[in-house]
Amino acid sequence: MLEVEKLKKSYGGETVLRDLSFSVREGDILSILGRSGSGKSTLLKILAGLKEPDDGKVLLRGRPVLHLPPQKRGMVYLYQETLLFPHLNVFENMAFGLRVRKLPEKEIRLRTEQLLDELGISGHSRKMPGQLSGGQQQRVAFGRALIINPSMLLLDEPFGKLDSRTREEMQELFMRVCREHRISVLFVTHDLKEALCMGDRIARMEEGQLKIYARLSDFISDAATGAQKEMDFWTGIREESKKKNKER
Amino acid sequence: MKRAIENILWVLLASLFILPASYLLLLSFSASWQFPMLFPDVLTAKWWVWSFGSRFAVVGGMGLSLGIAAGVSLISTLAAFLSSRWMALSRHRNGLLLLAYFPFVLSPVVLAASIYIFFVRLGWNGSVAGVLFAHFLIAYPYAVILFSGYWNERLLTMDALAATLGAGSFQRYRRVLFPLSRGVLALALFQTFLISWFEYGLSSYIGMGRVPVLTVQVYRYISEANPHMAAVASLLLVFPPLLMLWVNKRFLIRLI
Repeated sequence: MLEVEKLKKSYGGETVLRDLSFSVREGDILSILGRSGSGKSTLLKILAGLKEPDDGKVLLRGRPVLHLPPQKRGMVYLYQETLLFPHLNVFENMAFGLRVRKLPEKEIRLRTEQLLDELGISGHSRKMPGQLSGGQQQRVAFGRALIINPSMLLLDEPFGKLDSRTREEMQELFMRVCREHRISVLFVTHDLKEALCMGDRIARMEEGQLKIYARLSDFISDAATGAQKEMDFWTGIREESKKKNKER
Repeated sequence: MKRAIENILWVLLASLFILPASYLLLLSFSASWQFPMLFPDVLTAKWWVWSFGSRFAVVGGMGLSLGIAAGVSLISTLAAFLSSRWMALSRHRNGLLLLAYFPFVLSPVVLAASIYIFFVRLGWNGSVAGVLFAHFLIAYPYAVILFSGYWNERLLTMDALAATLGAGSFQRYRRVLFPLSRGVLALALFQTFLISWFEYGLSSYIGMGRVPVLTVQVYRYISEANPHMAAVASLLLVFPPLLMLWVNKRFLIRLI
């Protein structure tokens, strides 16, 4: 569905993306892990059309898209901040993508109300963004992207600012809705657990290249991912806790 | 005590505007006002009646000033809003901003003298279009400077997000950028209107006396030793900005 070939990008002599190539299948969720400054956001912005690469190809369903402006690519980029339009209420924020496509009012109303219902925020449709909780704002931002049936969602640490409980709720909701709508997703995160829970496949960005792991076991056995270390840490805690309980 | 001092200061500040305005008002209704009389001996409305007539084109000049100031304010605000966004994304942002300060470093009159030859060659001197364009040359960079700090990361990111949601350039301005920027746009419209409205040097130099805007008329009546008509023209000059300030007071004061 998405094919990226030999993508290159440098900033003032510093290479951020180095001949980066990968592909994503229809309806696939690819989690991308990586340190700050590893080029994850640059990759998403190039795909969305918000930055230009120095070289390389991007094909979406077999068609090159790098020459297209962002509004014609059908790839929605979601930031860590929800960035809801503060002058529009929840309904109008959600309907934004349909309004700019100049769809009939009846269709806009129907589709927006359906999605508000699906995301569990139909009771808040007349509220302004400032009157919503962090989780509710995230649902609106997600719905605003989803309503236009995007070819692909590009998520840049979207749940990074949420508390742990809301974050889990959002992860579950996000997984369910993406599966139901068969949306392809590139999901950038710092959080190892989140990457494992959300992705059908996991990739790691390092030195301007993307390493995609074919199996979960490959990911765990690669020391650079830190997954084994994390597991050992929690196993160690569990063992120590058992030992202490026996001693008592 | 503190309250009394505050009240006195307030009265003093208000007097700074009220006293000259009252003097102008009396002068505009006086038929004769001899020294050392504190008030005019004879009052008349003839200066105001004449200002509406064809003998003195004061009201016509006011309409002309209004048209030019409104046009300059609309065009320069819109052009500066669009170009300042482009500047915010440009690598040469600081250099371009420095250029915007140039007309003010030169002073408008020196600017008028230096560009006058181009207006003559283009045949724009002594025309309304020429005066409008000359005012634009100082109102536009002023608005660019005003907007230069406005384009922050959040606004630009919101613009980018709207683009990935499918909004083209026009739709983004219409549905996102203009509504979000109502306050700063109102401020720029107001300020650029005032720049054009009170501009004398450029209007006089480029207009060559053939474009009788209100500021040119005030100076003309003063040089003709006609203080009564100068007072009428001065009051008409102050009235529209005061009206705009009153209409926009809630909006503009909130911005300050």
